[in-house]
Amino acid sequence: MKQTPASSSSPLRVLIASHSHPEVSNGGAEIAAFRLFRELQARDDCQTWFLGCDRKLSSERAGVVLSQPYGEDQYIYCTGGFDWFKFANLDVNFPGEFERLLRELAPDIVHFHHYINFGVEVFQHLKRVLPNCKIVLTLHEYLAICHHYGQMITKNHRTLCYQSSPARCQDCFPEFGKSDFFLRKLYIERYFDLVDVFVSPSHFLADRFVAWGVAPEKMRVLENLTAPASPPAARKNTDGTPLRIGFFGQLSPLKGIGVVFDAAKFLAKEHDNHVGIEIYGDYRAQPPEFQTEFLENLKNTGPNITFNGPYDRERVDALMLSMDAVLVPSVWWENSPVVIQEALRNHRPVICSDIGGMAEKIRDGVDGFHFPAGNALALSRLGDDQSILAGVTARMSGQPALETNIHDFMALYRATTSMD
Amino acid sequence: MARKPRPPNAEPANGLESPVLAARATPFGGFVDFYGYHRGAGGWVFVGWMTHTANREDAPLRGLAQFTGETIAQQVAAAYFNRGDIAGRGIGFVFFFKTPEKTRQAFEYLSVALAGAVYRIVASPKALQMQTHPLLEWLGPVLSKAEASGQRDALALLLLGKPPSAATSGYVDFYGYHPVAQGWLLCSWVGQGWSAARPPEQLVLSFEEDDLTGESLAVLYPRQDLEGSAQGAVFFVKGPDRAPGRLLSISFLADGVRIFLQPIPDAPKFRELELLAELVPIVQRATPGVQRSRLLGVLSQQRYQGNDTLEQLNLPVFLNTDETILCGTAGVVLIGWFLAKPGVVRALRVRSGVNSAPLDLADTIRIERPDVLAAHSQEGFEDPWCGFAAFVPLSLAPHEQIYLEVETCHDEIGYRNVCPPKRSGLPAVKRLLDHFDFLHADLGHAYDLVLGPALLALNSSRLSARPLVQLLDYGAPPQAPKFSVIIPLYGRLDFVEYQLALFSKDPNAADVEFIYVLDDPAKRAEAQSLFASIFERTRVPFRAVLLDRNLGYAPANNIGLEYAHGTFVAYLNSDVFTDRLDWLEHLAERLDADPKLGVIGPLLRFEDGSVQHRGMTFKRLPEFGNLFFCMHQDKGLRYSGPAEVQRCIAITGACMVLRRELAIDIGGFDETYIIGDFEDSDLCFRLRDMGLDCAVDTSVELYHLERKSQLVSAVSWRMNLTLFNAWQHQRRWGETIAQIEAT
Repeated sequence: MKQTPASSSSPLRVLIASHSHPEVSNGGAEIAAFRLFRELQARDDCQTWFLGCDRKLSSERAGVVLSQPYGEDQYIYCTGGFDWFKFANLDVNFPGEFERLLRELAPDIVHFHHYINFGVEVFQHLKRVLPNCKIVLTLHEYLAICHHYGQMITKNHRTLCYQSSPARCQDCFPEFGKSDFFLRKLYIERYFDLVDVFVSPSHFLADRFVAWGVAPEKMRVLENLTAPASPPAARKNTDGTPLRIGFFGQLSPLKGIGVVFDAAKFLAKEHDNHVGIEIYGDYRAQPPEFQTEFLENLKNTGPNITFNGPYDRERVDALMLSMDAVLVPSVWWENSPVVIQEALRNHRPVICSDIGGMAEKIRDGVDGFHFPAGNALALSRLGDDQSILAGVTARMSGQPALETNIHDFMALYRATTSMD
Repeated sequence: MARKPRPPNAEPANGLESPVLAARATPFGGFVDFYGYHRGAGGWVFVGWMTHTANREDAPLRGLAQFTGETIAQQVAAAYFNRGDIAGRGIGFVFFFKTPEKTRQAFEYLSVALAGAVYRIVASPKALQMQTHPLLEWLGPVLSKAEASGQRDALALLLLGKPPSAATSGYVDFYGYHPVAQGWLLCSWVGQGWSAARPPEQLVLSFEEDDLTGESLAVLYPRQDLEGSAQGAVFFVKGPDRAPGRLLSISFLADGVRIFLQPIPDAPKFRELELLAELVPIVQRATPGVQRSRLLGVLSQQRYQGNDTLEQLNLPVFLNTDETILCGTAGVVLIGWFLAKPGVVRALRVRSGVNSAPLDLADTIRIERPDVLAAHSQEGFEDPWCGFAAFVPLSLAPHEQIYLEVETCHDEIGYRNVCPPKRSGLPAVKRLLDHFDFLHADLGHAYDLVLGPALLALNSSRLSARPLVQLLDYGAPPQAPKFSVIIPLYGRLDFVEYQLALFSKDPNAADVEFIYVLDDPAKRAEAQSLFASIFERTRVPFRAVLLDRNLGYAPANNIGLEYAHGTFVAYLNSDVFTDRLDWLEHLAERLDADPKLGVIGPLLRFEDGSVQHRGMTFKRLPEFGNLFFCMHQDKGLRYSGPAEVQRCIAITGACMVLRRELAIDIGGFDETYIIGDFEDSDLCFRLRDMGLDCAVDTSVELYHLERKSQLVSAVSWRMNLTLFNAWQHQRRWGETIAQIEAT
C-alpha cells in the first residue's frame, strides 16, 4: 500500500476533519475518516493532518480549544455550545482558533467528514482565511435534509420519508413552524455553497442530496475506505443449528431489531429450528423504554434467537466467519453501512432490507438477498430453501458494488485543487 | 366694584345700546344711587333718580342696562317715588332687570325710554353696589314711599314679599359649614306663621361680601322656650365654603311672604363636628317628612376617614373594585361592580384628596358578572351586567387614597376605598384589555369612553420615562455608512443568526450599519451570548441597543434611529430575509430619482414564493366596529406583474427605506400606537400630508416569514390592542382614507 510516486512537484497538503475521532467514539464516519488520514499519511505525495472533535474534553480542560492528545499531526477540537437544528457552532472561541490552525497548516484541501461539531459556518471561516483552499465534504447521512437525526424516517410513525419540505418537516416537529424549516435550509445552503466537492458513499444518498438542492456537478460518489478483503473461507463453526445468521451492530429500533424478533416468532410458531439468529451488539446506550422492550422480547423469544452481547470491532471478522450469512434488517434508508462492508470483506452473503444504501450495496442474488423492509414474515421465509443461500455463497466474488481506494481520493483532490 | 362715575352729559362710550334707545340724542338723564343683584328674585335692582318730571308713570317701560361686555335690554319693572331733595327736577325710581347673574360684571349706565324721551342714567359718584341683604334693608323704606300702582305692588312682592315685608321675622342662633355635604347649616327660629307646608322659595343667604343661593332644605321644630307661634327652624343651603365674611341674613319667600332672619348678636359659627353634634338631636325632633329625612341624611354625611362606610347607609348599595389602574396623572381606570335598586343612588364620585370626578355608569363598559349576581340574588337584584370598567379623568393627588363616594336619594354619603393599584405599564395594558369581547355595536362606546382615553394616558405615562440603554458594538462599525438598517427584536432572537448569516454572503455587508434594538429585557443575557457567537460566526459588524424595558415597535425603532448614521434608514423586521444587500441600493436609487417619493419598500414574499406584501390598502371590517384595517394587496397570491415602482397608499414597516433626515423630521414612528400595529401606515399618511408618496418596487424582493395574523387569533388582550390601534388610526386617518377611496 505504501509509496505511490509523487505525481506532482510538491506534496499535497490535506487536512482531514471529522466530527469525532476513533479514540473518542467508533462510528462508521470517524473510522472511515481516520482510515483515509492514515492512508494519506503513508504517502510521499501528501502531507496530512487530522482534526477530530471531542464533546467531553472541553469540560475537562478549561480554556482549551484545540488540543493534541493523540500525536503531533492530530488535533482535537474541544467543542462548545452547538445548535443541532441548523448545525451552527455557538462556540465563540472556535473561529479564531480554527483560523490560526489553518494559517499554520495552510492546507490545499480540507476534507470534512461531517459538519456537526464544527458547524456549517466552518466553511466560511476557511474560505475567509484561505480563499484558494478547496473544501471536500463527505456526507454520512441525511442530517442536512432531515431534522429527525438525519434518518428520513417520520418521527411519530417511523415510516419512510422520501423528501423533506417545510410542511412535511413540520408534521414531524409541530413545535417548529414551516418557516423555521425554510430558514434552516437557507442557513445550511448558505454555507454548503462554499463546499467545492461533495462526496457521497452511495448513489442513493447522493441522489437524495441532489434532489434536496446540492448542485449535481459538485457531487461525487466514492465509497469510504475499508480494510482489505480476506480470502474466502467456509463457516468456521459447524456445530449447532444448520443455518446461522448474524446480526451485528447497534441494537436500536431503526436497525430493525424488532423485525428480527418478529421473524423469530414466526419461526417458533412453525417449530422451525433449522435457523439460528445470533445477535451481537449493545443496547445499553438506547432509551430506557427500548431497553425494557428489548429485554422483554428476549425473554419471550423462542429458541431461534441467541443474544451474545457487545463485541469488539477487532473480533468482527472472526465472528462473521462463524456465520452463514449476515442480517441487516434496518428500517431506515442507511447510507453505506459498515457492517455490509465487513460482511463482504468476509465473503458472507447479506440478508438486508430492500431500501436505500442497503439495496444499493447488496445486489439481490449476487451479494445476498433483499426482503421488504420491515417485513418479518418475508424475513422468516428466507431460510426456507437453504440451497439458494449456499449457491450465493459459492458465487460471491467479494467484489463490492462500489469499490474505492486511496487513488480515487488522490485523483479527486488533484482534480479539485486544479478547479476554477 | 370700583368704577369711575361717568360725568354728566358724557357721550356714549360705545355703540352697545339698543338701536331704539340709542336712536336719539341721550343727554344726561339721572343718577343711580345704589344697586345690586337680588339673589332671591334673580335680577338687578337699581335705585336712583332721573330727570323726568311727571309725577306718576304706570306705563310699561323699556330699558337697557349696560354692563362691561354685556347689554341687558328688556321690559323693566319699575316703581317711582318723590325725592324732596331734588324738588321738581326729577323723580326717584326703582328698576328691576330680571336676568341670570354673571360674575365680574361692571355696571356702566342705564338707558330708559319713558313717555317718549330717552334717559341716560349713570352711576352717581357715591353709588353703592350692595349684596342682597342690605339691598333688602334699603328697599323696604324706598318701596313703602313709592306711589301706589300695580307696578309698584308687583315689584314689592317680587323683591320684598308681602307686607309687612323685609321686617325681621326671626333670628339665627348659630350656623356653620358642612364640608362633606358642601353646604351651610343654620339653626334659627321664625316668629311669623310659616307653616313649612311649602318649602322656602327664593332663599338667599347673605354674607358681608357675597350672597349665596342654592338647593336648600328646611325643617321646623318645636321651641318650648319661645312664646306664641314662633318655632325653631333648621336650614341647609348647598354652596361653596368661600370666606364671605359675616353672616348678615337669610331670607326667603314662604307663601309669598318674604321671611327675613338675622343672626343674633355674636351668633356663633361652629365647626363641622360641633355643628353636627348640636343639630342632629334638634332635627330628630322636627316634624317628620321628606325634608326632615333628607336633612338627617345630610347631617349623617361624614368626612372620609379612610375606611369603608357603605354598609352604614340605610339603603343597600354594593360597590366593589377588582382592579385599579392609574393612568399617569390623567385619571384612573376602575374595574368593578355595582348593585343598587333604581333611584337609590343619586350620584357616584371618585375622589382623591381634594379632587373629585363623577362616575357615570352610562359611560362605562358594562361587564356581565353572574358571580356577583349569584352572591346577591337574595337581595332581589336581577341585572347580571352589574360589572363595569370605567375611565375617570380625575386629577390624582399623589399618595392620596382613591375612594368612591356614593350619594343616596336620602342625602346620605357612603365611602368605598378602591382596591390598591397593582399593575402599571404593559401589565396594566394587558389587564385592561384581557377581559373584553366586544360586539360590533359596543366597540365605539368602549374605545371612545373607556379604553381609548385610558390606554392613551397609560401609554404616554409608560413612555414618559425613557429606558436605560445599553449599547454594544460587535466588530468595528462602518465609518460614514450609506445605510442604517434598524431591526427591533422581541421574542425570537435566532432570526438574527439567519439574517446576518445570509447578509454575510454579500461582500458589502460590513459597509452597512446594522442596528438591532432588543426590546425584550428578559432576553438581554441570552442575547449577549448569542450576539457574540453570531459575530464570530459571520464577522458582520453590528450594533446592539439593549433596552431595560419592553417599549413596543415604534419606540424601539425611534431609539434605533437615534443611533443611526446612514444617509438612508431601512426599517426592517427581524423575520425578513435575503442573502444580498443590493436591495438597499436599488431602493435608495428610486428615492434619489424621484423627489416626490418619501418612502419605498420591496415586494415581500412568503417562503413559498407567494406575495406577503405589495403595498397596503384599507378595508372597513364590520366585525371590528367597521374600523379601517390595513390589507395587504394580493397577499398569498403569485405575482408575475411587471418589475417597477408602484405607488400605493401605504407600505408595511416590515421593510421600508427612507432618508434618515426625513425620518428624523417626522419624528420616526408615532409612539401612541401601542406595541405595534398601524404605525407604519400612520407614517405613510403623515408623509402624504407633506406631499410625499410611498411606493413598492416590485423589482426588489425579500422574504418575509410573517407569523399568523393577529386578527385570526382568539379574543385576547392582543386582539383588543389591535382594535385600540385601529381606533386611533381611524380617528386620525379615517377621513383621509375615505377621501382616497372616493377618488
